[in-house]
Amino acid sequence: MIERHETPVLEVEDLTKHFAVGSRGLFGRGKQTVKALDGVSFTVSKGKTIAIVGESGCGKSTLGRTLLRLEQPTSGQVRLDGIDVTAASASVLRAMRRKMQIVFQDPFSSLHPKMTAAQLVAEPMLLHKVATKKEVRHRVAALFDLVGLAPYQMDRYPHQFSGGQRQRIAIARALAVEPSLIVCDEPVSALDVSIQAQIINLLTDLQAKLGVSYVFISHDLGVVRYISDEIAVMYLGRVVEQGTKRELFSYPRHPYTQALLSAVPRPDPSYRSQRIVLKGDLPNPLSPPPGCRFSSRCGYARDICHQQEPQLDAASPSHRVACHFWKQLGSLSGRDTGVPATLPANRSE
Amino acid sequence: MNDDKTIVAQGARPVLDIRDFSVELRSGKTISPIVDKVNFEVHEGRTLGIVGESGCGKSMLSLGIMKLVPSPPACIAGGKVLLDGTDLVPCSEREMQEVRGNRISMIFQEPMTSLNPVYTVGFQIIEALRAHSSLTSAQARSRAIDLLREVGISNPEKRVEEYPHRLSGGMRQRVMIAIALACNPRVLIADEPTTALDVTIQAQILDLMRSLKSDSGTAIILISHDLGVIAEMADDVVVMYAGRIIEQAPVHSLFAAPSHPYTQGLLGSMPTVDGDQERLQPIPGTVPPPHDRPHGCAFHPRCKLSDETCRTQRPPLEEKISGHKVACWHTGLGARP
Repeated sequence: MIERHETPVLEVEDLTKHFAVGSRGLFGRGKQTVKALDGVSFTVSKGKTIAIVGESGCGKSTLGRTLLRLEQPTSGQVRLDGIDVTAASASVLRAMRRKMQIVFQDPFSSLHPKMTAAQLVAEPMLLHKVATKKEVRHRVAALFDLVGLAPYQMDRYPHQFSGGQRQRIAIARALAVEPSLIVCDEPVSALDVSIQAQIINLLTDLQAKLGVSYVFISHDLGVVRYISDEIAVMYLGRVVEQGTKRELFSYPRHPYTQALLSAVPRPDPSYRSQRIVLKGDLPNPLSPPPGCRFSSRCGYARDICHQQEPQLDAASPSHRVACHFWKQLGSLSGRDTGVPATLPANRSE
Repeated sequence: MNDDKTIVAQGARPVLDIRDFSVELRSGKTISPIVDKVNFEVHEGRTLGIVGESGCGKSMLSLGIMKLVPSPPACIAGGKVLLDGTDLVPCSEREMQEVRGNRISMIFQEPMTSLNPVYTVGFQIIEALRAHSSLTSAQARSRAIDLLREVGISNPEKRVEEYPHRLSGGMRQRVMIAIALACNPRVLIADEPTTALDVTIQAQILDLMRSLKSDSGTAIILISHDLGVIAEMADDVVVMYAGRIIEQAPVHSLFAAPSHPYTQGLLGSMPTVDGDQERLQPIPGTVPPPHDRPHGCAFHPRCKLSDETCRTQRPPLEEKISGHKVACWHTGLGARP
């Protein structure tokens, strides 16, 4: 390949995952479906990071699991290095798993308590036969060094490590098989802020050094702004806005993105009371509102929003918004006064 | 809403006055201080924010104020908790039951584990009301409905009959706040009240707490690890590290001139939504466990400024500028950013 850096590592096309839930009556009649993912598409280039942002229940973790085919998608396609993951046979998939790894939120439950740190990091290498038993110890030591752990810690058990160190082990374990993609599912959410910063710096350093791509799933917009190149905002299984970091943070178009950004508490007492406070809760995913799924909480919703689901519309070649009124809304956000909204907010609920 | 400019009248008696308060952890022969000689005051209608990372003693401090520390292994080792001038530390369990939920109430991080799953929310509010007043059950019920309405729950007549599992996380926290406020407490202790909630729901709950505070004049102690939440809610801030207060200041002063290297470190590690950062500046190392606290300044192994004095002598909490106290040998000597 000539322009290797131009080839996306990961291509996701119209990915959909529905779960059947609740069996009312015998033989599961009257089952309902949760559309946990509904037509999600994006690509990730080599050495880049896409962040998937949203609140609990928006489908971001299901997305991470479906990308790795830990969940079988209902429809759509995931291609890793050009190979279709969704249709791969068991043996092909097994080989492909080497190329894609995951780091979970809770380093207390994702590491086997009866394996030493060295065994945990060595396991994927032995499984995928990327190292022989003889050289494995040497490679584990190199990985320990890479993620900032000391060699004397190799034979310790997970409970002897702090939360931040455990997350380093989980990262070393993911890196052991030299993947091209790591799905990071809220990797720093369980950590204190000073430790969180250490892990984030580690992830960015590793990316610069190894050229690995990340799908970074998070609810924390500060972390996302720091780590990602591109961002997709999800709401009830759909991407409502997607764009580069600059587009999304400086010119957010979707009212949900705007509300999300303004709701983040700033470490600045003079920022108080500049927030858009959304009314109500996330609707039940079993019965999302008709039309635009955000319409029940949107301050700008009009009749059409309750009837017709908006499609992702291109605001720029890299910036897409799923809102009927994004053009009228302008890009009011946080402190950015950009284009003022010409669409008045609804007074009533 | 923006009442942080209200100046507390000189000499006005604080609602809650904590003096040299200490909590210890005793296991076998080792005694580890988890809260170490803490002093602060909380005034009517004001919010005191307590910030620190896990293991700094902030939750033990709040449990200690309520005399709810799990004993053994923990116990209150000394000091005073003056509520309207009366010391709670020598109070009996029976006397404390009169105080808890009545004059001081508390809300916790996880509303699902603080609510009883087998009773309706109405029952649980009525229980709190009748424990501390002589209301009839009919009066208590109508008051419970009023309380649910006050905390922003729609259709309270119906919601009062619901069980906690039927409510969302944000709604449950509203119910917890309704229970906590049932008896018009003098002090509300909120321990990470929004940490388990999504950011849009967090914004709702913080708004609610602010408006309730300005309506009722209840003093609030807000415990959080999130400096953003503290900046948004608090009038005065206490920063804790390893069981001690290392910085204490009015909110504007703290964020305008954070003076302790730990406070500066916390702010430097926070990724912000409002600008692009070159690189985060994490604090190296981790919080020391209570049984293994370093000598001198507890922060010295993680501190860039530490020298021989820091390793051997514990810095006192001293007022550097008006109202702004710092426990550091080096700040005030030109290290302020």
